[in-house]
Amino acid sequence: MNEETSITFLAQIATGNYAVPIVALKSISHEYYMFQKSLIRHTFNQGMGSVDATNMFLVSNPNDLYSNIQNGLGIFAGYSESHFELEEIEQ
Amino acid sequence: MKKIIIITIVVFFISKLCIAQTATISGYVRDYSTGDNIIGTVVYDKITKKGTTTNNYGFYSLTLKTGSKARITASYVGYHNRSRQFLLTKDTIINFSMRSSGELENVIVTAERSVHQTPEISVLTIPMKDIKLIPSMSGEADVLKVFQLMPGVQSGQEGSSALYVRGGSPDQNLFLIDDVPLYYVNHLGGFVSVFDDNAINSMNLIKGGFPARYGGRLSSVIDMRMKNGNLKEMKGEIKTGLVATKIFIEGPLLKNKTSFMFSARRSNIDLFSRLISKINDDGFTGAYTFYDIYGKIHHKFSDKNSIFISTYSGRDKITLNHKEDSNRNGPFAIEEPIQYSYESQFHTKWGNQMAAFRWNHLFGNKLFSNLSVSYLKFYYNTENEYLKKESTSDMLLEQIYNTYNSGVNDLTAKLDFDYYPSSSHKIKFGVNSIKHLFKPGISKFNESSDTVETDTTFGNLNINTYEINAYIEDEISLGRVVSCNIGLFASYYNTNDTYYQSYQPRVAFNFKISNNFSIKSAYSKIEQNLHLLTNSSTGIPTDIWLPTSKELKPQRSDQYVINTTYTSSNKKIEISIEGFYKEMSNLIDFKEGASYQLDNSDWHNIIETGGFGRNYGLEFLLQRKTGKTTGWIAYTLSKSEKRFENINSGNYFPSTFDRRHDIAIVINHKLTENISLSANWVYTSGSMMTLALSNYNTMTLYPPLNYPDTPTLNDVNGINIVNAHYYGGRNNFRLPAYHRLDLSVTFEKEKTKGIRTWQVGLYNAYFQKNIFFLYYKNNGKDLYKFTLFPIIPSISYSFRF
Repeated sequence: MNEETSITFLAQIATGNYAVPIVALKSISHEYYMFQKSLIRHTFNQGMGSVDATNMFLVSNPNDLYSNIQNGLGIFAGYSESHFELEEIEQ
Repeated sequence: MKKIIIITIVVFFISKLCIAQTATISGYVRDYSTGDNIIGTVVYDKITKKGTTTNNYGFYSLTLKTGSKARITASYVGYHNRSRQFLLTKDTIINFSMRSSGELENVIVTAERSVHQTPEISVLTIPMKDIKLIPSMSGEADVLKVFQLMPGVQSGQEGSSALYVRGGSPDQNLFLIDDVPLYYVNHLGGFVSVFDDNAINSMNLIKGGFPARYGGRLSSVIDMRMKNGNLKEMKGEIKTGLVATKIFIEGPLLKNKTSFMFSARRSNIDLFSRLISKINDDGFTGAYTFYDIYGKIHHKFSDKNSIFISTYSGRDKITLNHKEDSNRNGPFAIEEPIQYSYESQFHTKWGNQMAAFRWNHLFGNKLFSNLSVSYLKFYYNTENEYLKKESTSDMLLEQIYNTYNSGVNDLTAKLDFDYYPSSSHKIKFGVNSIKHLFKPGISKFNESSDTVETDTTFGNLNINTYEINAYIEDEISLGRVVSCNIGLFASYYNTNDTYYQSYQPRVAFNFKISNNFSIKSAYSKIEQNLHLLTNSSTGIPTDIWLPTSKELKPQRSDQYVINTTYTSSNKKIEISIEGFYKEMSNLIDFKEGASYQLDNSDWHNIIETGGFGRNYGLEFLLQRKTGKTTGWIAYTLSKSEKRFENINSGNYFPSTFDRRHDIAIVINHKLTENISLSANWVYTSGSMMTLALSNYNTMTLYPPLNYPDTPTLNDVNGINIVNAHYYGGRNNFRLPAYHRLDLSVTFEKEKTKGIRTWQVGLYNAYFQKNIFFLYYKNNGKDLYKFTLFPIIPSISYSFRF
């Protein structure tokens, strides 16, 4: 997996006497990705909020979290992180 | 003397000649006072004990041997029997005009050809006048809610008129209104159905052993016939209650030739809600309205030709408006404050529009034909607009506008025949072709302001599909004991990228053990080329109808039914016990955890296909149809399960509305000539729900955006703790049982110009706090129930003239 990928994104950062912004890029394992995907659905469908229309009509059936542990819950996953300092572009 | 001998010889020879010959008695059965057709009347020869029933247009044909006396009797519940006696020598036309037995009289109907004589199985029929008496939440008679009180038909969410027939889902019900299938049949989140009792002539529900003439939906057929209109005189009714006001009028345009019927109904709810928002004056106004309009024109050219034009239009609309002027400062504090006004409008509307033209033609006296052409439109639109203006100059600063449209359009041509070759065969055959246009959802988004300018359209493409169906069925009586209905429904379905064809056999047998006791059994196979993707069971139409495609195979079902029926010798009480086993395949559901809100993409990506369902149960029904006290006791014991490869680890899980026990008791009692009392009590097992068995903490780098509070474990690494639930299986928990008592009293009084009726009702009379839904408090530690329907009184007034 040594392909080069480019990601374009836009960030609004206040200019002035702030510290140099840092971008942290984390690469996660496939299991982590699956876990994270199911976590978003999981928390959304928990219905933990107050009594409102969302609880009545919009929540779908809850789902168990993704797990890669046999006879247990949770995941075994890893990630790595790299940091970049942002360079200011003169306008 | 000589003459007499000659005549005797001639008569003898004629009768000899005629022994092998037959003659046909045919005609229509109509109501004496309105001239409208009576569907399902038994027409019966008392001497040979052979008989038939009238079809959906009141026509019958009975072929008997000539030369003997015939005593033809027409009989129908609620009407006096009519009889004609004559010597049958040639084809004869007899039209019966039946007089209503009057609601006050205590008439025992002696329908000699009873339920024990036909192979008809799993059919529920409730007379329209009984439906009017049964108490309802809204004070508005609701036919679908009355069917929910019958065995094998279960309700979903409280208050909803959605039908779950033998474990089937609401999309598997075929709602026919004058032969045209409707897609959406509920108003107001399902609390009121679109069927206006005034406009309906007859209605029955078939839940198994489907005759071959029906097809396209797996679980039930609700066959509704609109009134043709009174051919004799003008009649009408006005009624107002808490939920709706309605008007009904019918009468002749040309006496005994042309009639019309018109019925309109509009909700009253918005009158209250508009008033409340006026008083509150917080800038918000909102309203909910619905209406139904039924219209029909019928013209009779002769007994051989008549035409019918039926129309229906119904719509629901929710409007929310918000207007606000603000004194807020402009974006730059140094400048003068600018006043802005904000306006937002939200409209949602959905409904059906239907028009049908039909032509009845009689070929000879044995072959009846009906040609119909119809158009149906179902639509669901949402419109949302937001405006930001400068108050002083009214200059538009920002505008956001989006719409969402989905729907179905159907164009149908249909030709049906009823053929009565002899008294032991009743053949029905026909062909129909339907062109569907599906719009599974198009969104438009438009934004304009000083900084952004967007105009996009996205969503699923429209899909055109075509289907051609043909059917033949024969109701055969094999001697006195055995009769059967054997049929075949063939279907060809063409979509964009593929086609499906199917042959669906339908068989029903009847063994008449005695005049009071019969055993019946049936098998039916059905395919359905439509799927409904529904987010919840509450009846809010975020429902999307999806046609079959290459990936989405047609739903299939196989159903086996066995029934025994006993009628007491005085015909007052009927008891039936019925068992069924139904298998369904190619069901769809959302992918685990998926919903519209999270997955705003192509529907192919969020659904799970290839589901399998199995439903089985036992149904018990005790009915008293005549007398001062009428009603029924219904009990259903059933189980409904589903299995999907990627849901619940591939294991069976109970359907949400898997109700193990379901009891309903309905009693109508005529207290005096003018006062009737009605009560019903229901008790059902609670519905199934997925609840957490335990919870635990889990960690993630990326807390979900929608998650309320995420305690941070370690600020440096940004690891967050999220509370996770462990469920251990879908629908693992059964809610407490649901029960409720409803009461109503109807006071009728004859005035000089007509009959006025007051109806007072009480829904949930002993204030049982039933669960509408459950919710968490205290960050998931406590579970609370929410009761939507307390004790609800209702009152309505109507005047019939």
